[in-house]
Amino acid sequence: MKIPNLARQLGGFFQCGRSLSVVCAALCLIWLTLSFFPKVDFSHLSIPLEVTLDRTASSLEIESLKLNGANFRFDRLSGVILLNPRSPNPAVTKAIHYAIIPSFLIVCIVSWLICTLLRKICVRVEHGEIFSDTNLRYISNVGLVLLISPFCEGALTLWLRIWLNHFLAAEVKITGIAATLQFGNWDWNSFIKEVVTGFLVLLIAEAFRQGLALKKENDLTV
Amino acid sequence: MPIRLNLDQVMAERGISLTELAERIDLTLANLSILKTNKAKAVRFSTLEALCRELKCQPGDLLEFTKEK
Repeated sequence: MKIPNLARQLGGFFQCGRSLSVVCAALCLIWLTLSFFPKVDFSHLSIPLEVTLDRTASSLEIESLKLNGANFRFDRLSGVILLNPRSPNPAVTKAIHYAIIPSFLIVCIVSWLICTLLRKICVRVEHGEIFSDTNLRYISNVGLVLLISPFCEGALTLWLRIWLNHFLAAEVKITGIAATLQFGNWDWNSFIKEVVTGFLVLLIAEAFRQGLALKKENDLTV
Repeated sequence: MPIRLNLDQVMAERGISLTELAERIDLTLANLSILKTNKAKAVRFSTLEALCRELKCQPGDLLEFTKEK
């Protein structure tokens, strides 16, 4: 199925994505750092949280009478903690500012970069410039951004863990069960998918480069 | 490039212009200019055949191998 003016439509889509990245980054920075917005209930930040239950005699266990030799041990509970960015508690606001702002900015920057590069490619394709050194450079840059971003996310996750675990250890207590509290969980599936996608785009860029070399040779074949 | 096309030399000996030769061998002026200035990466046999036919020469008269220093 051929979509008419696909390059133009995709270019418009990526332009919207680019503008949205900038607007989201600006709004969130304002929302997190200033008090311009009226206090509303949905102003809380949801942060994923994981409670690891210590393996002691008091750990939750379920035994099955029908399945011989099988029992279930609950050693991890997941949920979210709601933090108010305008909390009077300086520990909360500091944790949010130092943990959330850098990670959110990185996500916005990566989104803006990818949308900008893809939009430039769409504009050039729309004007008939397909196999060119500039397009090749843009595609390679997209692949590099996609390859580097999961490592940046990993570094940010580590940063978030340090800041928020420090905050949780100081401010949050769990009573009733023996457990440790820690922020989030590393998503290996997402990491591998993003790295593979980055390598795939770089492979496409290499095929593009060889195609471009063949085209140049063909152009100079009389 | 080690292989050179001495088209300008042979054209001068035959007294034929670039425009006239382009018309005779059905090649664009731009492509013939690429051949003349040795910017071409490859030459088709059909083009070489047409050049030899119109310039009444052998491929060896047009093509020359020079060792690159």
